[in-house]
Amino acid sequence: MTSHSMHRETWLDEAAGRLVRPYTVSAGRTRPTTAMELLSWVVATGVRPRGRLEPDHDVALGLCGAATTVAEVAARMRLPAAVTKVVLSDLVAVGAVLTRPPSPAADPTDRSILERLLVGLQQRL
Amino acid sequence: MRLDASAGGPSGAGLPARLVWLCVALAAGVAAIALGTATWALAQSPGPAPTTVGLALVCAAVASIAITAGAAACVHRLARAHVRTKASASAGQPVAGQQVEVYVGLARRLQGLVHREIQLLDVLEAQVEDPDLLKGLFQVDHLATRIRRYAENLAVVGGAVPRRQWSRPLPLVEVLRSAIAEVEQYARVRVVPPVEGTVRGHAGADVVHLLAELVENATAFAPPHTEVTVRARRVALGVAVEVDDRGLGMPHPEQDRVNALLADPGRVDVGDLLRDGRIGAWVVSALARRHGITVKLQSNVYGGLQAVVILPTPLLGDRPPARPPATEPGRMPSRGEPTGTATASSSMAGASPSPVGARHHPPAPPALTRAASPATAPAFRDAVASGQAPRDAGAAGPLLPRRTRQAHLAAPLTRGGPGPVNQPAGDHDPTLMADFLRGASSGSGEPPAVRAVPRH
Repeated sequence: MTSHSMHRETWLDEAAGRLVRPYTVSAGRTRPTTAMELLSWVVATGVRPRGRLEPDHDVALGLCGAATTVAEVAARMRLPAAVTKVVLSDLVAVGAVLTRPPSPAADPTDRSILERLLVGLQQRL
Repeated sequence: MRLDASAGGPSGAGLPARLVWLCVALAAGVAAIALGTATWALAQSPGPAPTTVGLALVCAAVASIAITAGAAACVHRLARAHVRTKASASAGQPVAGQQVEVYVGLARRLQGLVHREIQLLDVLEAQVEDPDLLKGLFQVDHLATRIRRYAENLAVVGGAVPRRQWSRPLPLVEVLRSAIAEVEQYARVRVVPPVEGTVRGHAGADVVHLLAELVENATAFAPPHTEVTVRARRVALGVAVEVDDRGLGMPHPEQDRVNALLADPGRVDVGDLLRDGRIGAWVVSALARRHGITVKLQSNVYGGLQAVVILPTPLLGDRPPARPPATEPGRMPSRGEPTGTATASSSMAGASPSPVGARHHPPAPPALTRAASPATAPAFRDAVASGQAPRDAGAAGPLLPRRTRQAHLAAPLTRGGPGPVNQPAGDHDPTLMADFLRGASSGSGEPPAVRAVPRH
């Protein structure tokens, strides 16, 4: 058995974990209606959907003001990528957000990019 | 309609109770091990998720169901122990308080395990991109969240302090969503916007569980195709949260009985309620009593039941993150919200710093406007006394006369102005941007670093 004090500690703020569980954000959905990758671009179209948005959709739309990636939105919202994709695909469905496939330069397996990165790092260090 | 929990355990204490607890602890262990295995398997293989992960998740799900049932049974058991304690105390017999302490201790262990389980789930959910696998994870997550609710209720009914606490006020909308997440049929519940205001961090978990109990009850006793709506509105005493279902309602004598329990648990024969399996009402009343929350059931226009929860002003955060727009003069503004003043003075405080009120006296510097308000100054003192001084002091600024830009402009000019520059000084809010950022970041679960650490 663990020590007595371990069962008395409290979890404050960050340690308490997130208040809204990720499954509530997407209402349990895990499959986005629009195909997206982590490095797909998303940008707000300026079209404001009728009615009120869910709080997370509102935040996501705010983050898409300038073109950004799905990964960036997920990181900023501190949500799993799959849930972020569902939220963003909802916004795509109502015409509030446009998505584009990732630009070729963002391909992480591009050897020339990696080599240039390596050279750059070696020059710096 | 009955306020009850999903499972009721057999009566009696001693050996059966320990057996239930043993099973719960074993199941919790299995769940933790299964999730750990899944994490490990995912870390090992960079490709598509292997079958190990799926198997581990199934194990975790089964274990979680066992814990949920066990924890529910234990809440029931603890409530009974409580009743026995009271009964034996009133009859002059030795108190069974030690038994309650044992239950609370075990509840804390369960809390610790579930907390770790949820932390593991957070890690897994961030790694998994496969929709099917994530769906399974979400089901385990949902079960774990419900187990946590029972474990925390169990500890709270036994008199323990909630272990999850927040130092910042929590947006009410997040509290409502968190409550809904703890309900089995969460997809049927809808929060009707707008929801404004905040709940003080120390009471966050308790308010979440209290609301979850009422929402669960609403979903359980209304037809499955119907929606349950949750609304929040400001009232003189604080914030009223209304949970409406479209079920068949509750007969009036029954309503009176549950309301009597909710109002004053001492007057009702709790033993009777528990024999009928209505431990939900008991949990709600225990949580409400702890924070001075009023809960009442009444019939609604749909013929169903409405649960009204009044979160009193001292339980609310200092101010909601969003500013009230100038077009709604009738609404209670946030700044004048006191933390302990009487109702009458709070409504006066509310009228004074409102945009409309301020507009009638554009030349008055902010300090004078504040000083003229009879109730805001005491409210500020109250805030200082209740330990919210740094936040409020930062928000209100020093109470010195200040030159007001464009204060000489005629009232019609300032009224039509689009930007904040044309607003009278009484309406100036130096923390508007910080509040906006804080609201946005709290929506995304980030810590509110903006107010604490200025960038300049």
